[in-house]
Amino acid sequence: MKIEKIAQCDFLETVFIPENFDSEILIGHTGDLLSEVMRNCQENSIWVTHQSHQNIIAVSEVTGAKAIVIAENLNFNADTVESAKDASIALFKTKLSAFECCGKLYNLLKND
Amino acid sequence: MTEFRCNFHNHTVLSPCADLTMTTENYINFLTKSSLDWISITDHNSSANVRNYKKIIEENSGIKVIPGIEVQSIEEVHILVYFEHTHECEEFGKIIEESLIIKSYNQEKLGYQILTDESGEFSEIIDSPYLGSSSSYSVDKIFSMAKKYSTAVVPAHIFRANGLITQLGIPPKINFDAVEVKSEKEMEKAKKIGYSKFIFGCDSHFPQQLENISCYIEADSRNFQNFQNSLNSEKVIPVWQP
Ligand SMILES: [Zn+2]
Ligand SMILES: [Zn+2]
Repeated sequence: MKIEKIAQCDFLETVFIPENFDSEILIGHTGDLLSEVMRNCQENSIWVTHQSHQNIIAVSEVTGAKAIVIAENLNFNADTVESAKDASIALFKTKLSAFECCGKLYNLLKND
Repeated sequence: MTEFRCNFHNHTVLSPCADLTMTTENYINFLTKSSLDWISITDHNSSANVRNYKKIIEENSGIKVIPGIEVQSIEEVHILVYFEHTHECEEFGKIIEESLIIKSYNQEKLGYQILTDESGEFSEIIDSPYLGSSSSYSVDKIFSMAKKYSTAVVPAHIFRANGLITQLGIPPKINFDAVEVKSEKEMEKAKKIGYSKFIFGCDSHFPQQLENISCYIEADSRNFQNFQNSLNSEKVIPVWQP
């Protein structure tokens, strides 16, 4: 799925989308323990988390996740947003719980 | 030079998860049975018991106590902060307490948070905030806030639950004074990801654990400078726990 289509979802607010972003989002992951995410998150994922530390960008680079959603109306740290620009990772936020957000994203990707 | 026997990670009755028997009386009982010389008090997210425990332990056992605190960051990482001065530890502890994100909690289920007076008696049960909660501050912020004082900042049990690497996956770019590991295997793992300065603690939550020696420090006296120097010069000698 194209990132533009994900960005159109009414439950997501775009924090940052890299220019010329051409990766397809194929699958999702959720988790806050970055050691677990490093083991289990798959390439071309959209990843739903509560974790705002800058290391989420490094973990996305390692796993091949292409977009991150922060749940519960939380915010990314400023240095996290800066790192996302360097690493070309798309960032979104949502007012929803991680559970609700994952449910909606799951249906969206499944029906694509 | 003397080889001091140390254990720099211990909880008191103030930590909700520590046993109710982590009283000053039991500290004295178990510490005097041990051959320890130098310890630290490191409750979760508060330093409210440090002054009285330090005074009672030092007066009754001859053991030296480093004022400390184990902070939980917003990423749920446990970080030990050791202070040269008790009043600075108290000031920092207050800032952390105020930043805790869970205010009220179920004491029966999660454990009592007990303040101790100068004579070691229970003086007050603290029902807010919940000291097992996270601070609203990030690891980076806690490091920079702690470094405004004369401190050593050391992520606790980095490969275990609430450890730096468990939570953050990759070492953040922060120049910690050391990291705490629990086994030789963990130390080797930590070396592979770039750490070279270590501390070894028992993380005592029960009185029986207070007897354990977790490391040795060689120094001419037990002052904070010598503690920090031995961390920084990679001279802390581990005693692996079974
Ligand atoms: Zn801990
Ligand atoms: Zn602890």
